[in-house]
Order: sequence, then C-alpha cells, then structure tokens
Amino acid sequence: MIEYIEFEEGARALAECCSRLDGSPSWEWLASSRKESLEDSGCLAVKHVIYLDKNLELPQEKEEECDQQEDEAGMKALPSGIDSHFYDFHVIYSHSYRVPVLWFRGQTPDGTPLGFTQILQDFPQLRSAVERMSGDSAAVSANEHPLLHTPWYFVHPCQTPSFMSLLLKEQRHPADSEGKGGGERKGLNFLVSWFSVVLPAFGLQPPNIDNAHNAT
Amino acid sequence: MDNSNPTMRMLMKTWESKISIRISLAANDVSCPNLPLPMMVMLPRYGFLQTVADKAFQSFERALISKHDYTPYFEYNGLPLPWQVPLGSLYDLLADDQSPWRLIIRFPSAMPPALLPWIRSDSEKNFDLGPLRSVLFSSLKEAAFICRGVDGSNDMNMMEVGKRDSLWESVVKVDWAGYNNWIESMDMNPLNRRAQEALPRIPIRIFHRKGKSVSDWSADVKSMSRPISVQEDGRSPTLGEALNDIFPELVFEEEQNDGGGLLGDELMRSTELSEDGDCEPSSKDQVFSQSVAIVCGIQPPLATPLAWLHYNMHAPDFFLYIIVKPRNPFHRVESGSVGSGGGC
Repeated sequence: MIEYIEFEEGARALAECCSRLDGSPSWEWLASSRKESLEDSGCLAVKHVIYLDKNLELPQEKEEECDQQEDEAGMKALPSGIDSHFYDFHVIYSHSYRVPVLWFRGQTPDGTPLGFTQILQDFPQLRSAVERMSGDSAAVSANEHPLLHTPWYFVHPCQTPSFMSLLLKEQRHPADSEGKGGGERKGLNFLVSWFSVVLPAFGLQPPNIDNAHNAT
Repeated sequence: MDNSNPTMRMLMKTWESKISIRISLAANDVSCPNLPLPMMVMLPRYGFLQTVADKAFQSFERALISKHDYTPYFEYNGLPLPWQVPLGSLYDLLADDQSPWRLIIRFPSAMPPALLPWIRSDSEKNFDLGPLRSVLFSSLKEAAFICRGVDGSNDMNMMEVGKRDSLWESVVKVDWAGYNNWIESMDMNPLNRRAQEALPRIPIRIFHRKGKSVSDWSADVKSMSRPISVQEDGRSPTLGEALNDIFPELVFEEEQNDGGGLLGDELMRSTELSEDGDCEPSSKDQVFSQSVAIVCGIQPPLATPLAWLHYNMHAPDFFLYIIVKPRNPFHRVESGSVGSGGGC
C-alpha cells in the first residue's frame, strides 16, 4: 500500500515517462481545477477508443491535455460511418484502501453514456471477471467519481492490497523508499506493477516505463 | 448487550430517529386530471428512500401514465436525489429542516444520467433492491478494511449467504437488534489495533455543501470518504480538529448549547465537557461566513472525540456521516432533539 504523496509523485513521473514514449495508451496527470479542500490534487487519465467495426485498424491518437471540467472538445472527430465507443480511464487514489483504483466510463460519439451491459460487451475479459464475482462481492460497481462527482464505474480495490503485497515482495526493489526521490520511485513501481494486473481486463497495454527510463 | 449502557441507548436512539416525508407525483407523470393525494411516511434517518418506492408505486399506480419496468427515484426542488445516500444525510444536507420534507417520486424506465445506474440482475422483472444491497456491502467492506485491514474485507467477502441475508434484512427494516448482533460478531471497533501497519482509523464520510442551495449535485456537493487516524498516543482527534485538517479554509461555528433535547444532553454528559457553553462574540461577517457540521440532525460540540461520535452515531454501513454546510443565521439547527426535523 502507498501513501497519497507517493501515489501522486509516482503518477506524475509515469505521465512524464509516457510523454516521451511513442504509441498508446499515453497516460497523463490531470490536475484538479477545483482543489478547495483536502481533495486530491488530481489523477492519472487516458482516453481509449473501441471501434465496433473490428476490421478497421486505426492508429490511436495521442490525447491532448484537457481540463478536468468535462471538456468534450477533447474528443476527436472520426471519419463518418464508423461506430465507436469512447472511454475515459482515471486512476484515483483511495484513502480507505490506500491503493490506486481504476475508474472508467464509456460514451457514444454524441456523448450518450454507455450502460453497464454495453460496456461489458466491449471488454470480454472484464465480463468474465464480473460474471465470476457478482452480487454482494461485485468486481465492478458504479459510484460517484471522487473528484468529478458524476457517476462512473470502478474496479473494486478490496483485493488490491493482497495481490500487490505478493507482487512487490517478488520484485524486491532495492532502496524503494530511501533517499531523495524514494517516494516517487516507490509510487512509480507500485503503479507499473498494479497496471500489469488491472489493465489487461480492458485490453490495455501497460506503458513501457523501462524504455522511457533508458531513453533519458 | 447491556441495555442500560448509555452509549448503547444512544446508538439505538439514532436508529429510532425518523424523518417525516410527503411524497407526491409530478404533474407530467399523471394520466388523470387530478393529482392523487400525496403519501405521508415516517422513514428512519438511517433508512433509504428506495425502500419506500415500491409502496409509493402501488399507491400511485392507477394515476401513472406509464407503468412498466420502472426505476423509481426521488426529487427535491427538481434535484434528483442520489439513491445510495442514507435519508438522514440527504435531509440534513438539503432540506433546511423542512417538515414534512416534500419530495416528488418519478418512475422512468432508467435512472437519469445524474444518478448512479440501477443495475439489476436480468432475472428480476419487478423492482427489487439488489443494487442498494450491493452498495451497502461494498461500503461495509470498505469500513471493514479501514478498521481491520485485509482481514476485515476478507471476512466480509467470505461471509456466508444466510448471515448476509439477515444483515441486509436488518438494514432494510432498520432493526437494531439484528444489526447489533452482526456488528458484535464482526468485531469492527476501529480503536482495536488490528491493522498492524498503521494507526487505527475511523471510517468517515463527509458531504460538503458550499452554497445556499443545491441545483446540480455534482457541482454543488462534494462527497468524500476520509478515514481519520487516531493519534500516536491513542487519542482520537476531535470533530473540530478533523474538520480543520480537511477544510482549512472554513470556519466552523461552535455548537450553541441551549440545553435542549435528550440526545443533546446525553452528548454533553458523555463527552464530559465543561458547562461553559459561551461562544465568543463574532462580527456579522463571521456569522454569515461560518460553516456548521451536522451529525444525525444535531450539531455536536467541536471538542467531541470523533471516535465517540462514530461509536454512537455511525450508519448501518459503519461509516460516520458528517454534513458540512454554510450556517444559516436565520435558521437554528435543533441541538439534539430526538427525531429532529421529523416531528414525533
């Protein structure tokens, strides 16, 4: 588990690495424009498009910075006649579980929110996970986005502390929290490991941070 | 359980506390020329509006234009009310002590986009409370993790179906005895040092209303789950200390203890505070810019230990709900009458 400051420093470092990488998905740090109380400063964010015509291969475009105030101008116009679903993924720190949590929502090109069933059709691996764990211990639920306060879906974090302990024990990063930049390194390592577990259910590739580090 | 224990009596009273509600249909949902008479109900503070939706549907069915596959929700002054928030918290946040609280019920085919979707299992054709149950267990699991770490959330995941069903029944009916049995078996006291990695934490949920009214929940209300850590010496932070950490820019009004109400008296006795209830004279500007913190319809003294507040006034999901809103200088919050805001 990590503290909020380690999460934010790691997340900003990850976003910085992503900005130097080619290809997708490109995560970036979205600063909260309404930091009025002890709210989090922001979250990691990425956009993802699912093309419903599976024969079409279009390059994913790098997202632009967008204000967290639901700016629809961030959506790119697509060639007409292509059905697609636009997804936003946010990584937000949970103060209760002290781990990152993946939040997401889907929309049609005209901004209509996608229902739960439609979302599960877009992500077959997620659908299997949801079918395995439903009812009182659901894998995915809807709730109020902690920063935007609108309805989003999220992947339940209750298993995260357990699987992350196991994962990090095996990795044994030296001097994780020692010295200058220790918090950032710990946060970054945590996020990269965590991505490798949660992102595959959505067909997303974790960013290749090692390459980005080597490139500097 | 020792019924003569004053703190147990306090938590029971919190559970027994009710709010008076008047439920009407909207004119544009009605097929006949005259609006049916509103329905009057008394609902527990720690209940949920959705639990009365089915009864309202049966009461209003004949007048409705469309009656199939409905997903009910409630509205106050045009604002759709989040169905996952306990009634008492919504009331304290929004109603400004209106009594009875006048709400509209709507029966669309799906929840409006402003509210959480009502994801029901395919097999259910009629309205059932499955999604509310999911929210409750998700919250309970979160509180269990805060209090007991991984053991807490695992115990929740592993709980057998029969026990979960009876817990759910107790919550829906706001049945104190059934719920208390469950709580004792889960050993959820946040002050037990079960989570060995860090200091014990108290599950808190805060709803903050910045302005005079709420017309758009996502813009005008900020909600957060913020576990508050006990100090290293084992002392619980006070309500005032926690609020100053979370809202450093707000000034909180100290509770005006005019000695009224059974709940308020118990609060004062139990916290063993001094009798000095004087507040410092404040300028007119200060009075208008102050905020208040409300728990279960009362304004606890800022010196109240948060652990005590949680132990005596937590909701069924084991979170303590705190409402923060601007002080209305023309409108006093009842300091401690049982069932405040709802009549008798």
